[in-house]
Amino acid sequence: MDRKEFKKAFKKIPAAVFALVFLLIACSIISEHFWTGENLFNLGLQGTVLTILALAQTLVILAEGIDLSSGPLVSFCGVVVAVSLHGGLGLPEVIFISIVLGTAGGFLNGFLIAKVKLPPFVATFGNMGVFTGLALVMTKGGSIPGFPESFRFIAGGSLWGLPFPVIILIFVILFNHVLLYHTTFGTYIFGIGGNQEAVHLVGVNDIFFKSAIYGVAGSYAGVAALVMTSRLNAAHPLVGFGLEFEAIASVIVGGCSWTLANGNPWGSLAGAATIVVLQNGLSVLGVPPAVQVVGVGAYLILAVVYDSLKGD
Amino acid sequence: MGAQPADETILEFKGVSKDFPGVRALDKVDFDLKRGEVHVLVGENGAGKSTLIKILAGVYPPTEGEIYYQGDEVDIRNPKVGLNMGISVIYQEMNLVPYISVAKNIFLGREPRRKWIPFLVDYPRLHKDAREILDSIGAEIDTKVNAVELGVAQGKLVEMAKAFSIKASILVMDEPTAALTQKELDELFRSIEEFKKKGIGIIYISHRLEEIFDVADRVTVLRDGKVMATMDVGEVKNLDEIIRLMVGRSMTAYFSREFLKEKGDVALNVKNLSREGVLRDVNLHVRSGEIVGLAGLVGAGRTELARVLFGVDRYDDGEVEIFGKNLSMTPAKSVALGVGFIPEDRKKEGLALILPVKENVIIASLKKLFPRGLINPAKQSKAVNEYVKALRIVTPSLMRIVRFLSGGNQQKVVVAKWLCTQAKIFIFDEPTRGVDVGAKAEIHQLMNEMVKQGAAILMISSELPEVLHMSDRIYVMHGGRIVKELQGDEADQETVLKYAMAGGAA
Repeated sequence: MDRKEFKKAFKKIPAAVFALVFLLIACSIISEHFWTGENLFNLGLQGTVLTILALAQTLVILAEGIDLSSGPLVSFCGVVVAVSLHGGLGLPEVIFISIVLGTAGGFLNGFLIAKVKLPPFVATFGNMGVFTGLALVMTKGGSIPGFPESFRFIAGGSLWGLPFPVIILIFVILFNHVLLYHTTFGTYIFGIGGNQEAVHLVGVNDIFFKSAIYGVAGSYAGVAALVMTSRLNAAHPLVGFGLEFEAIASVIVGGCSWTLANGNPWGSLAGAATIVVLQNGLSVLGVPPAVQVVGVGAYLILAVVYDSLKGD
Repeated sequence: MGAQPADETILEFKGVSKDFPGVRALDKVDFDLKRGEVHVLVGENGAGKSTLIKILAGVYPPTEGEIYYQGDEVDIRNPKVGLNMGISVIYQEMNLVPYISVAKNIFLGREPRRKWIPFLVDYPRLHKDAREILDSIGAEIDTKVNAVELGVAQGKLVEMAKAFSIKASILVMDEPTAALTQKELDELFRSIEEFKKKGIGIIYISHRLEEIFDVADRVTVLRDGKVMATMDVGEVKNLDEIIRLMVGRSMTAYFSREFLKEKGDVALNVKNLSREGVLRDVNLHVRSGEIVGLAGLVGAGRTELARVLFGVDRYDDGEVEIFGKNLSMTPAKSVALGVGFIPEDRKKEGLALILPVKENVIIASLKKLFPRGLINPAKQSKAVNEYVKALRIVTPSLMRIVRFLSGGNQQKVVVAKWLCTQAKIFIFDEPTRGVDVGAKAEIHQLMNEMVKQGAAILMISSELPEVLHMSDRIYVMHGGRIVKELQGDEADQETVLKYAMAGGAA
């Protein structure tokens, strides 16, 4: 019986956890610099944006949806932040603007999905184009560089020996955990993904909460946009391109299923971590970024194959 | 004793009608429910039972008529209003959220909050309250496990706890026993008794007419949206009376089979079949011209056996012979050898719901009829028409999408599909689940016809009367084994149950 329970528990561990252990070992063999403070600092810095977006994607996928527009939404928020800063607005104002704009963009997705009843793939696929287009219009295709020191602290500063983005990330992780497991809203996220009819029939406004899930995911994109723009010290309309792919990949290798809200944010965290470490390791080996994308895709497929094999 | 609160009417429908485009689903229905009674609602599919329930729950507004709740006229605009009034509905499908705990399911939408930070869920209270409610209906279920881990019966109990927690005064149960074993049924009926004692009125819908005598205080029969009769269960002389009211003609509960004296050759022969964890050393055979019943409890391995026989799942050991030939392990080969499988869940596994009747009937025969891959429409329609006529499938045209057919007609489409392939061996898994009484008799008659024409039928059924009435021989399964073979005429309900429940050990 004990053996059986152990087997069951073992099966619950998503592919990402094993991949992470493997990658950490592999990286420490490949490069003696891997475990240095400097490299870890950099990993944290690089990983923050993706990890925040992976958490946003987790909320959406738990609710039986998908958000293809999260990368472009990051670009769009970044561009608006840059324009606002150049227009003379201060740090608190742009933080507010970025998060509110992200939330609004998310709610737009949510409205189309929950109220207009578009399939999530279609709604967010359309907005992928809308957000990218808006960002291109605002910048006329170019980038907007150069921001004040106060704004650059978001990505460049450090606190208690940690890069400031990592502090932000920890805050988002905590916020996300409380949201999912300690608020009624969190219960409705699992409810909407698991059995929306049941939620509707107990008199909960399921349409509103379903929209709100996308709204919260959008607010995370707003936070990610602040970190991204500050780190690059420039806004570019295509900077978020492909981030949604990595974020979705993180959630999938983290073991979250497409249906019934069977998953959790911890798997997605491990998933995001593996992708960041994988990219870092490939960089150390001198693999060009374009080929790294192939690596992430191959890893995604391997992880899903692993999950489907152990299901038998 | 004075006034008896148990006789107090809590709910009354007066002349309630409901029109949908082109059809009157309910026609001037009068219906009432008393405190602490179980009022069973019966009727064929489409008789208006679900419509009545949905009006009560606030899902549809009535077209005309009045609803009185505890003496006052009410307007149940939406499910929330219904809930607040204390009307709780347990639908036929599970209405639980799989990956949250039992406690959270019970209090979904009404979670207790922490005193100081009101947007946070108060977990200790949530679990404490859930425990109390489960205990009060006598359900020993851990409040912390996720609903996905529960069995069907436990799920029903959690839904009952949920109904109880909203202080429901009216509980509606739509086919609660469709997939329960006898033991689970007893548990459910015990909980219903608890509810009655607390003065809750229960509306109970069932296709298993025998249950009327187990649970009902009163029975109302619906037909074509009209109330045919409401009576005390004591006045009901026998089930035939109820069936007559339901279908509008006299009919015995089960079609009586003609048993053939001369059976044909062995069509399906299974030797020492095993599949790890599911089937152990199964031996059985079915001859042409006979119906062999496969009885057993849910989980005994009957459906698993059917899947292995049809080649859907693999087997580890043993042999399956079709007309003396060894069967390989794919459904394609089974079909080629003349096996047809009518699965338990016809909507998922038996039909392409969004395709028309024509495509559904022809789909398994395309290769045989049109080996070059080009479909000859005239030939196709002719073939399909032949079976639609022979099976008396009620459909306005061959192009009707099967989703819109009744359960009985859908089942006939599945059978037609296999007849069209010229199958000779049929595996029926729960042939009459979810079909109404009239259609049930027709399907039984159809099976009778099929064996007369030389078909061999292996029939899985959880309805004991069906097994006993229809089978030439009966195999009883328990724990993945066949524990007993009985001749149809020597079998009775008690014997079959004894072997099904204890494997014959007791």
